[in-house]
Amino acid sequence: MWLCLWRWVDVSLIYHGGGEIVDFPVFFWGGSFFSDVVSHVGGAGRYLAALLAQSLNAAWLGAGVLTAQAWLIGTAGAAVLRALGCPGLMLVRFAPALLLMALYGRYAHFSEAVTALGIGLLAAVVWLRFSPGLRWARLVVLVVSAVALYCGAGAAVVVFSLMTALVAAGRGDGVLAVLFPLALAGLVPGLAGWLLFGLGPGEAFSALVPVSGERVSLKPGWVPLLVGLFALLPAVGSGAVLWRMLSRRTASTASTSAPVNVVPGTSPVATPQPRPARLTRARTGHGAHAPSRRRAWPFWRWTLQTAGSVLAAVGVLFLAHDRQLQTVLTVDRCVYEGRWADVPSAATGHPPNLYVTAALAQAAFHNGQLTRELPAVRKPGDLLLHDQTRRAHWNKAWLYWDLGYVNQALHHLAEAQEFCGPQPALLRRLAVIHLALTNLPTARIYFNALTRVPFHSAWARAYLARLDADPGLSNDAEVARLRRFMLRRDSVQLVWSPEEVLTLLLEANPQNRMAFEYLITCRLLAKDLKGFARDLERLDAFPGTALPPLWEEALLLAANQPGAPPDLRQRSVSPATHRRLAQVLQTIQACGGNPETAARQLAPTHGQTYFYYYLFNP
Amino acid sequence: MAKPTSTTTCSIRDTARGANAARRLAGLLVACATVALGAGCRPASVPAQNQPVVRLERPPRLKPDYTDLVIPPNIAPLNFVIQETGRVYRVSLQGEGGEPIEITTRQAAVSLPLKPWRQLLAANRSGAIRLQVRAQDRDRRWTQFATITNRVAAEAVDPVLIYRKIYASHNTWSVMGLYQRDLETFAERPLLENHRFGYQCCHCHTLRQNNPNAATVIIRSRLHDNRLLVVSDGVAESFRGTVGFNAWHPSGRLMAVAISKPRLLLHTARNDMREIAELSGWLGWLRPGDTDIHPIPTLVDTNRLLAFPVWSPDGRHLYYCSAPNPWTDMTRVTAESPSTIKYDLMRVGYDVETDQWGRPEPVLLVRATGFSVAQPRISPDGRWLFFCAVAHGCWPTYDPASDIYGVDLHSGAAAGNFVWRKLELNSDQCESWLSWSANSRWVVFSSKRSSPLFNRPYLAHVSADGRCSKPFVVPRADPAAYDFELRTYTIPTLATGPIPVPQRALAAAIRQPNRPSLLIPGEQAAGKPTAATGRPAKTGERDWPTQ
Repeated sequence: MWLCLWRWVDVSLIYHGGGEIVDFPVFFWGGSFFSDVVSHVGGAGRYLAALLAQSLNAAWLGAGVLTAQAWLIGTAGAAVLRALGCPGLMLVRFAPALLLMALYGRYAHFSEAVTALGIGLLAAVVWLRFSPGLRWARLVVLVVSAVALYCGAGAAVVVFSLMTALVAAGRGDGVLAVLFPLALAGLVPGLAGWLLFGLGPGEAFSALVPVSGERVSLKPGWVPLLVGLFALLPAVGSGAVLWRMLSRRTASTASTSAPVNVVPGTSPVATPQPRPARLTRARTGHGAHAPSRRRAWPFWRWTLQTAGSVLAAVGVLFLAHDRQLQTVLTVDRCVYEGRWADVPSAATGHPPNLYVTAALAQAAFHNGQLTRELPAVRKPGDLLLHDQTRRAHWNKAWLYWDLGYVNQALHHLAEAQEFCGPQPALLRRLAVIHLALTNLPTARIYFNALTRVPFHSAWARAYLARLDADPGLSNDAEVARLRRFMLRRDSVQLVWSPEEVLTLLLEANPQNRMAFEYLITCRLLAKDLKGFARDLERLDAFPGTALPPLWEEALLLAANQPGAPPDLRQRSVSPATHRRLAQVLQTIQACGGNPETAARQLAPTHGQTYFYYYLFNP
Repeated sequence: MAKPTSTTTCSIRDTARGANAARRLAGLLVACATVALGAGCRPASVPAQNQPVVRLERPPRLKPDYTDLVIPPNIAPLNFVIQETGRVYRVSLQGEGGEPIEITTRQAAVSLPLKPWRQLLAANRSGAIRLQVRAQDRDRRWTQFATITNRVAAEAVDPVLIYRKIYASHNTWSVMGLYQRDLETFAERPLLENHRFGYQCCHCHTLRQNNPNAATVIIRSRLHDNRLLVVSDGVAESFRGTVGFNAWHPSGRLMAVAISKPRLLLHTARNDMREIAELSGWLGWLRPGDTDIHPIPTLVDTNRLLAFPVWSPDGRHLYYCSAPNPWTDMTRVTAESPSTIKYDLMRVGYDVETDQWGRPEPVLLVRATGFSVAQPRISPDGRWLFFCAVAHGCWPTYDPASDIYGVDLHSGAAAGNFVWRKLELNSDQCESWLSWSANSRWVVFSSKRSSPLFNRPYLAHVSADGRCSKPFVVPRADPAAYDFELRTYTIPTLATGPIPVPQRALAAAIRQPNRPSLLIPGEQAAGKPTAATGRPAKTGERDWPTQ
């Protein structure tokens, strides 16, 4: 499981979030965050869950922690099943791990729910091992445990109560022993919620829902897995107990009808029946399998079990793994980290996804490809993610950051923070953006907050130290870049087209190369040759830049437009481009002016030219 | 953070006369235990009589800046961080009366003990307390800074501060909540956290003359409909409908409400890029228990934008902000249009006995002041009207240039001319959301002076002649807490006590279905009694286009 989650799923993508995972828990060291979280029902569990979730920053560590959680749940579940006297169902203990694999394979992260489940099962195991012998003491401990579990981990009290009730039923401890834990699960939330947290009845019981404390976005495919995770052990346990009870009843019925030994002169005595297997054996940790058989085949048994579990894990992950989401997340992380060379490979075989396409265009600029090949966007607006959905804010933040449109990046970061929470990736960018805005006290607040986030503290402290040494941070390359490109002229922003946004950036700094290439690309995608010809004048801000073939082709088309400015013709277009145009025109003529036939014939040789795009792309 | 009894504190010395011997012994034991247990934590050397001490003429740099203040006699300890280099610090607070507090610590963060602090303040009410800080460097030389003197006012501040904490949001919001802070301690209790009703929006809480038992909260909710939550006599109930800022009449017999349509605009290059423009705004009133919102008959004018109603304490005038409405012809709207909106300060008379409204009267006109007036607040004694002055619009909280001004209503009414002046409490950053204490001697307001993005609540004393003392940030147990607090504090409001309704009851009132709807004129005709959009829609009206 560890290897699969580390290498195959790469659970660090869950930590990154990519705007897709909006419910990943945030965590800050320090008393104020602790008291904030712990003051709510299930707060302690939530705090622990958030802390453990931070391990996903490193895939190997996160996979280890998730595996450990799955192991804990499986082991605790196995102990409970053993206590119930159903060793034949031991394989069930692997089921939670498989369900968790399926969840993580879909990049879902229910940290609080999983932690609550683990705590509930662990508490049940502790109860089974160490419950006091005196009845009144057992009742007191049960009540205290239920209250503590409800306050500390919300849903854990349900798991604990169900398990203790099931075990009591399995032991045949009597109706009271079974009903008491169940009654606790019903009473404790209402009473403790009201008395300790000031909750109304509805709120108190809603805290029992495993995901109540998290702002989760439940996708339809996740719900059955989550329900299965919580319901599996109780369901199996209940089935086992019912089966035992039925078999016991059958046995007792059989015993009453069994022949009675009657010795003359004595009262009739029933044949002694063997007692059913009780908890005593389970308590010592021994299974019910025949030891001789187990000893005889230990190696094969171990090998088969291991191979089976590996196969099951691989099979589950193969079926559940969301590769499309993995692509989107990987591409986004490459963009965030500025690993532009990795973006095309990460996006290989990507689904038709707006964010991936925009990221590919962004990477194409950084890799020097944007001037050579038109990006595969559906419309020019997609280049700047002109999409009004909430989800787009995350990616827009990176894009506008890259373009140097500081206020827009800030806006989208703020919006993304609202629906993703104060994730470290956002806080880091917010801090640096406020540095660029010379908003130093605000930047310091973000850096200070980051010093309390695991794995980001060192980065933030280093920045703070640099800030102390050089308050202007004039030698920080990223800050300098943002300051160089950011807009200086203030106005209230209305709805602007991508071309208007890019023009604004170029007016602020004509040497903003990304804005320039994006603007030209927008013009080309929109087949706006007049606009292209007009904006090509901005090329003078980049002396020594030769016209790429794609632009030459567009220039040739623009120069042949009626009313084209005369200086266009002064720009040199290579003979090869002239030849390509001639070939295209000849082919069209040869096809008798039939565009479909011409397009078919030209696609293999001229499919990547602007001529082809201009003439045949709808 | 160093607390006197924490393990990080190396010694606590209470050298006052008659100090409790048992406490000293306990302190000594704690110190000894600390020495025994703490690695590298040795008892600090106290400057001996003959040990040379370097005396500096300047006061120590403290964060928060708690120097030269007037402080309430019932405020929680002003914990601070000493921003001076040193391996050991020695802090001494004393006044003319009471026992001094002396703390020696290796930590720069100083937490003052609550009980001695209270005793010191009580003993020096109307007096002063002096703070002396000494720092020992690595060579064990002591530096003594100039003494800081803070005056203790005679008048107490209201014991409870209610505020909203929210991320610096733009269009969308997620986690937020209203909180009640006990100003006499550090206790903060959630009043209404939005996870109790589906992470929807709660804002603009209003009290009737600092009375916690007469409060309103505005709810924006897609799940439970927009609502007006009303707390009255220990009972919470909600009414469906979209209303804006509101003001209780002092008699409690009616409430003035603003029906507005705010829109967020984004600046391309301003430091705080947010700006809010009101696309419509009119004033109405309703009676408690009633759901009909009636337009104020003398203020029905679609060519004006009206906002921020506030009653004079005698209940005879409703003050409000008013500006020409540029949105009547949307075809002529440009990007510069919002910057042309400037609000006058007006008032309209009202007789609660006869239920008669007077004619609007100007108080401060833009043509005289040059600025736009927003968020007027009148002191409970009726003498002072403080407001925010901004370059344009009526949302000062995003305007870095927003400052608080004051008007003496008594002298203005007598002279027939209201004179305004910029108050002493301003900074070069945004000041907004002011609230008066019940005794009219304290104001609390949101200020961005410590960071241009995050509002923090500041307190300032107002003297009998309307002069304001140097403001100071509301103290926190951890004096560095504001340094990493990512949420902003808006609408700090002083209250004479905590709102007596528990959070569950407030949340239940919000979630309660089948609540009556506020009947807002114009919406009934449109057949949409609950989805309020402001004044009656005019033909051809469209929204201000925003991204």
